Amino acid sequence: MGNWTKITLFCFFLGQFQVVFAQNNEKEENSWKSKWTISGYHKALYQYNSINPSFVPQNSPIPLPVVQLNTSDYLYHNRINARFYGKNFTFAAGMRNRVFAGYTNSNFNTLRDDGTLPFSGYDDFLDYTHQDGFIPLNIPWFQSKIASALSVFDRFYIDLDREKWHLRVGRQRINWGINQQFNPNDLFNPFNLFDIDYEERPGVDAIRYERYTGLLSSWEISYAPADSVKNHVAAFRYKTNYSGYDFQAIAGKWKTRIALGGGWSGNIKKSGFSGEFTYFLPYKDLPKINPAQTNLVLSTSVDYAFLDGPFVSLGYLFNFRGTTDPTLVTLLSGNIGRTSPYNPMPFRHTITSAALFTIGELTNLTLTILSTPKAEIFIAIPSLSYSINGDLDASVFAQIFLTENPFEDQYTWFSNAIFVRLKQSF
Amino acid sequence: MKYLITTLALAFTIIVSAQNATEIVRKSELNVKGAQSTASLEIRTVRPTWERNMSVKTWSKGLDQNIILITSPARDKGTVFLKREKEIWNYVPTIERSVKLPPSMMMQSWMGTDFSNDDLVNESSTLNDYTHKIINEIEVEGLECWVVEFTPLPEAPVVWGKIINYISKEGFLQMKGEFYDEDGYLINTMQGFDIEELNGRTLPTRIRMTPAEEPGHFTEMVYKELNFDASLTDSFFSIQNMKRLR
Repeated sequence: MGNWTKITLFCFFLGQFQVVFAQNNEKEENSWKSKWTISGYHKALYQYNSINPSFVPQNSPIPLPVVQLNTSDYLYHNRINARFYGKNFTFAAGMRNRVFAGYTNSNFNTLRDDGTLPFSGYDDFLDYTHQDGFIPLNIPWFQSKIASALSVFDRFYIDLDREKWHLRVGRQRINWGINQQFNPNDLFNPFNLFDIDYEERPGVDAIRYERYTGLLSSWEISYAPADSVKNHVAAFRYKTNYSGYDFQAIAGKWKTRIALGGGWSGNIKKSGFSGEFTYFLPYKDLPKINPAQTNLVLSTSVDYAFLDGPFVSLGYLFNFRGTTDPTLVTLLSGNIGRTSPYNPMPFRHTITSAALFTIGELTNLTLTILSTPKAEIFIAIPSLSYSINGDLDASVFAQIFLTENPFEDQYTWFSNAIFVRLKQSF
Repeated sequence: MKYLITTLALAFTIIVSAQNATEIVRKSELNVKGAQSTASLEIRTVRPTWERNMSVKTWSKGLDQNIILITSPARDKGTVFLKREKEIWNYVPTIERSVKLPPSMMMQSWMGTDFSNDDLVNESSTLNDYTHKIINEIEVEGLECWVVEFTPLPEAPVVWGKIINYISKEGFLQMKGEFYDEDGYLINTMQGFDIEELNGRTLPTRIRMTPAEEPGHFTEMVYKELNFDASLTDSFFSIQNMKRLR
């Protein structure tokens, strides 16, 4: 190494120390309170669900075990994000506290015993409401027919953050997705697109080491243990920026398969253009590969913000293992509530489109549509939100499923869910 | 020969004048930004029937590295905008993800204010993507100012058709800016008020952006702190640093 290189490096690190030193001094001068930050919100959510009675005929050949067609659910949701800034580390905890009441809570056991999707297969209502991780970090306060309460830590980690590297241990969100709606690169903690009340998205118990190789480039290795080796996830990611594009490549073990993929985010003229893909193959009998256990998932989208107009995005999801004959049965049995990067939607082709309109500055109207190519399954998610003041928001949204009714040979709505929410941030 | 000399002399005069105007613009830009600066600001967006307040911290180095951190309201706290050259990333703290902004977002309102994304993070282009010419001299807020016309370079990826900037002769302060679209219509007016000394530099500490077509609408940014002697490395303006700021 030349002397000049050494001197430059020395000056560079000296600069770093000055910044760190100045920050430490500042922290130490302040009281312990300045080492803590607390933030969060309160939310009240009302949900009204209906199922079209024409899909549940009296002498149906495929009986849908539904106790009641029109139901209401109530939720009080509180979140507390706490952070402690130590001298050499940061500790973070995100606590999600919810009190549930209404139809699903009261009738959960009946629904489960009847085999109703998506409730079958869970022990009880609180088991259904969250996916626990490797370490049990939840407090089931109480469970009754009137109401149930649960606290879950969905973030709980220690961060060691240095100039050139970052180590995080504990329950965290490992966000590898780049694209808007569907993320085949999200190997560690995919989220449920239909869970409209979970903006933070779930975390995963993992160890993650990131090494910064440049201002816009880094590599990362993450490992999420599970109860059996079959469910371990361990993967590597390299991220860089070239010619106005962010690029990433991923490789690793995802449950019983090897996952290889990549993603990009940039623009074509003034439109944003991003996408990601992952190829999965079983590692069990390598070098022999059972083609029936491979899959290619690709998701891409283009977006554009019109001046004084809407922000629109158009996307496409390819899932090779998905069905080319989409019906209501494939939708329901696909268990769309618990998606994975291997099977984000039960269909081979899904088209997504979204538009966001701002009305009079305080009101946002969005419309998201997910549809199979011939609209065999058509899902519309409209939402309207209004900012009452800087920290208080009111919103109304809906999820409407349209499909062919096999009993009446008619294209109509199958189910509707309407949500009304008030959110106070602190 | 005489004709050639006259032409050359004329060309020289024009170049010198253009350089002077550009130099004035450069000095005024550096005046606000410094080579390196950190600031905390209160931003007030006013409408006929309501108003919203926001607090931010900013860090900048040169004219093309910039970070904005939102510190209040609680709903948006921790949101970060990083600008490097022509690219902008937005860090969303709830999902700990940084999203690259497409170029079509540049003219959109920044966080509901009367400033656009372009105003806040893409300012370097006012120096490099325009030619500058002094067209008049006028008094603004009691200060003698040059009136400088900015005309975009033919291929420049800029959003304005023309900018008229009022820069004070003493101290190179940007006292007023008028932003015109490609058809020559006035879109926004930016004004500087409350000239004060902050850490050894004199500058307008309250900046108001008023849209021309919207009566009763404006956004004001008030400097609470401004520091020019920060020591910021290039790695401060990195994707990884967005999540560390507080």
